[in-house]
Amino acid sequence: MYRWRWLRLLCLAAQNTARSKLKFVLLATLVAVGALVFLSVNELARASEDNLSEAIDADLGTAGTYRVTPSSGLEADRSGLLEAIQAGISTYANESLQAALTLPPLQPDCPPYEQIGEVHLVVILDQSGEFATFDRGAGVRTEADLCLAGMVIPQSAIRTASPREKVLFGTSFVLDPAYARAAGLTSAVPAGLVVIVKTGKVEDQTDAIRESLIASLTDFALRSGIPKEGVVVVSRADSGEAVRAASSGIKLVYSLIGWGVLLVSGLGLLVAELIVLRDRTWFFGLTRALGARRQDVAWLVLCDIALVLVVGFGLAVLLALATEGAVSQFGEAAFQVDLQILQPSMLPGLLAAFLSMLCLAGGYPAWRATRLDPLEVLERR
Amino acid sequence: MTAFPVVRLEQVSVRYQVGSESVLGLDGATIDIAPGSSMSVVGRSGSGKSTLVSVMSLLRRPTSGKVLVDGHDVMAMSDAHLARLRARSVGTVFQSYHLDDAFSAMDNVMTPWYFGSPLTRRQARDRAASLLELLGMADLTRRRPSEMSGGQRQRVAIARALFSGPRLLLADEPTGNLDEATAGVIADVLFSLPSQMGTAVVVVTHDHQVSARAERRTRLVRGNLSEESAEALPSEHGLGRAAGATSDV
Repeated sequence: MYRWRWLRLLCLAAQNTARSKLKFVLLATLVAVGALVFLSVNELARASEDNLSEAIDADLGTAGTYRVTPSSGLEADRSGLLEAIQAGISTYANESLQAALTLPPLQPDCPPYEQIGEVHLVVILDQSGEFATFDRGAGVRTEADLCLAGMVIPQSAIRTASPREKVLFGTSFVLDPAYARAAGLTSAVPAGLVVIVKTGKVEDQTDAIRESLIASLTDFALRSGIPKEGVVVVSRADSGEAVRAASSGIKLVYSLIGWGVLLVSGLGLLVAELIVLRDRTWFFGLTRALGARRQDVAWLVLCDIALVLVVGFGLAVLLALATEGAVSQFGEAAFQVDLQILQPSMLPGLLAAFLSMLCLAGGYPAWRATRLDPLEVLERR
Repeated sequence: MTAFPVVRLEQVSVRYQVGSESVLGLDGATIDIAPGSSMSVVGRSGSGKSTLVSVMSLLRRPTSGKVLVDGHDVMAMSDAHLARLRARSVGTVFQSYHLDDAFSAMDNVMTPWYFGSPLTRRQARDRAASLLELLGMADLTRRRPSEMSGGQRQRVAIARALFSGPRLLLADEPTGNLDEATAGVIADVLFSLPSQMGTAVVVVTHDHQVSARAERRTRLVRGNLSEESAEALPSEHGLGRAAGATSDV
């Protein structure tokens, strides 16, 4: 067979397009609008999802987060305990552990804190169970010294917990490790350990994690004379399934709107192509009489639509580039998000949209064109 | 080595439905078309001329019988193979020209190039130009069919049918829409092809004057194809076109 046959047919389709320039321009505009809405809605979905997810994670904890609290009666040093816990959850965790020392609740005894009741303090630990460097900027600093059991903790040694720390450790204040020992001495109740485990999975794995931890902490339990079932408490440190589901729902709605607009554009294109097919029935019949194969005629129809789609999508990309700045400003002003309609990550979606529209608008007309009987078509004219 | 007939029909019958009625378009037609020969087919309206053209131009498969093109049995061929053979071996000139008004004469002649010609685009344009020149249309290559006379359109249609260098050119009522003088010119063009290009020519016509110029003359009566002797026909210089038309139509 001859090379570049498809290119010749593309040239012929382009020549055919010139028969009705207005129709071509209108259809390309329809496709451009559809593609632009598709891109915009996809970007809105992404931005909303990202922002919502961030807000939900901050307020309600990342999905698949568990709080592990070993029994305070275990006779073990912190690093050994953490090591055993790490071994127990290694098959479940997808991130490194976070740990903190929870101090017993303390009653401030100097103004203005004597009014606020008990204060829960934590000291953040690193992976090995050592005190982590105190990050003073991580939360809001208190404005006055906190008097705990007659001892003054300066305001520079304490900060309010970040929203995430509040969710994870159930505390309002984070203490400088330098004061941890002193703070611990203010109560007869020993400090406890809290370990945060993230699985990244939405489904509940509480029981599985608990079983695994019991197995890895059995030796400690035996040594400490604690029943192994009571060696550890595992609870979920995330919540807000309904909010998460609503967030996914919003993304789904955006997605449906995007694809819906494309579907409408595709249907418009399909109707137009069926009219074109009716108008060009004679031409297709003639080409068959002159030696075109069925697939050549199908190619002609598909090329016709592909030309409209290429110009339409090209127009959409140009429009997106031209309005990039304005869209970004709008997103910032209206939703406090950074909207970027054109991103490399959009390419697969754009390609899928292109092919979907090609199939939707071209499939049936192409099939019908191949069914034409050239003899009947030529006799009818 | 014996050359294959360009087209051979062996007991070809075609039956088709018109509404609820079954019509016999061709009834056991048998004929050989030798390379570089000319043949005419005359017959009344409804005698099966168009059916014969559709079978010979490979647009219709017969109900029974055998059609061989260059020795190949087309009955067993796939649709794609048949299309290739149609593009390569048979050129058809339709009664109503079937030219595209959106294209120039040159582009109309080049239409078959898009479906499987080995020529490059430049070669194809050169070939189209030389065919149009051969048919006296060198000055009208850029003109559209709507801006041409009937004779000029028919010459463009002939050029298009010859574009792929077919071994057989079929002309269905090529002079049916033309005045007598123009019909004569078109007949000159058609019957010069066997000697000029080696192309076999089959002309289906009502016109006895045109028919008489063929080497072989056949007649179709109710789907039956039969050879006519020269004596049976009106003399070339005797009955004119109109007389031919009244005797046969």
